[in-house]
Amino acid sequence: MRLRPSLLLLSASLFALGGVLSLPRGEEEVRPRFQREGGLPEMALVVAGRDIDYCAPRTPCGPGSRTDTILYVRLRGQEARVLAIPRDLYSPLVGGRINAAYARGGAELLKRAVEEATGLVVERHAVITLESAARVVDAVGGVEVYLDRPMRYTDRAAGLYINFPAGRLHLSGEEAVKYMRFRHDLLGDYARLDRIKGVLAQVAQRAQDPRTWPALASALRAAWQELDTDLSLEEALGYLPAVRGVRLSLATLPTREGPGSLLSPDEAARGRFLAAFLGLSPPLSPPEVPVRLRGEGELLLWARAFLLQEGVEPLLEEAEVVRSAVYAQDPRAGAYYADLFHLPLLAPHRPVAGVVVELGRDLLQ
Amino acid sequence: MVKTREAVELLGRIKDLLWEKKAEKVVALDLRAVSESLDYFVVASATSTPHLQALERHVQEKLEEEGLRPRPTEGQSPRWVVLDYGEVVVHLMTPEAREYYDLEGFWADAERV
Repeated sequence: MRLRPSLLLLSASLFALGGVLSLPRGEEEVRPRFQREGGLPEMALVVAGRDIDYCAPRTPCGPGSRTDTILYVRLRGQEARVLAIPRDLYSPLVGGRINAAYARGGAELLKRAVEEATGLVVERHAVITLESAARVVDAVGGVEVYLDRPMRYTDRAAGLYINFPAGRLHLSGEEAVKYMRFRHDLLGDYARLDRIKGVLAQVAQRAQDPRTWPALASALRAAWQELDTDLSLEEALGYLPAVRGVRLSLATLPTREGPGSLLSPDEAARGRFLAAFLGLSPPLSPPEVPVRLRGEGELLLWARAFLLQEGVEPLLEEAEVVRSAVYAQDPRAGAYYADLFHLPLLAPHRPVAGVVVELGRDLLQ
Repeated sequence: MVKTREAVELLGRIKDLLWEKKAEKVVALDLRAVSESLDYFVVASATSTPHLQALERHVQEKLEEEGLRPRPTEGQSPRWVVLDYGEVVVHLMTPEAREYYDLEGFWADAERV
């Protein structure tokens, strides 16, 4: 029987836990060997989340064939660059939306469609189920989010009931999946992808906490049973040394409005953006863009003093921040501050002026 | 959060408590040079699940008498118990889990203390 790693919840989050990558299949026993020598391992893969198929109203009959969440993931040593691909992107190869690729031609078509959309080579795939995603979120103790307005949506046929009040919320795995599936707001799918990025960054951070490891190991064992991947054990093991300090950057593929509700790749913006995002190395001196610090009193003052030493005078904004991160649409500028504060870089689709550094109480823990 | 000297003392105390209850292969790792967020691990094997629970109870009860309580952890497993005392994190595992997850191999470049 072929060995498969239990790798990759919706992207790099699993890289935060080493041993579980080597879970053997069935009764076979394999003891991982850890290699530190040699160059940085590098891999490009597509990670997708399967939706649920309904045999009848409110009767789920198993993992679905569409993949609403599609992520291009580039791993290099401890760097994980994740590019979210909008589900409504038109794919000539598929002859429709890219989220139908997996249904029409399996993982191979999904890989080719992502290559077509990004212009980048995709070597491997890992397709996971919503249940697996929920289990992994539960294993790390859930995630925290902040909602500006209530989130409500009912799809009786799919048995999907979303009803979250505004404010600071702690979400279980099942709730986090609902939060990530919701796309009925002004920015639609783009906002959904931004929410997925936020959850991923938190899962990756929490998965590095040894307190979560026993539960995470169990969740991954279950997730592994449902994982569709062509990764080999040897390939995955090469990444083990990197998982201890994985640095995550997340962005969305630039697109433009296409015919109807479809999107097309924004060819001009794509090349420029991807070159900057994937070739990302932080500039040596502070980039000349406005910097805004959002957060709570003392943290703001501490970070301001820190930035003044760098010769940067930031704007300050008192705000409740759930999880610390750096937000910027310019990946290079964002990389500088993500590196400076040791925070994940999230390049959101929603407009961001300059660089916004959000500082939450999680920094104090 | 305990200071480093106190952490080392706590480390010694935990090792003693584990030996008292016949834990096997008790290893302490100093992770400070190889991790940004972790300080010390104590890893020990139990011979069975009841032994694992006995070790957990013993360490917890004895340290509680000294005013130390572990932080709550998410979803414990019958094969792998984590007791989190801040700078010192204790991993109690069955031999199978110990070999399987190979924390020492994963942190091979950490100093043993």
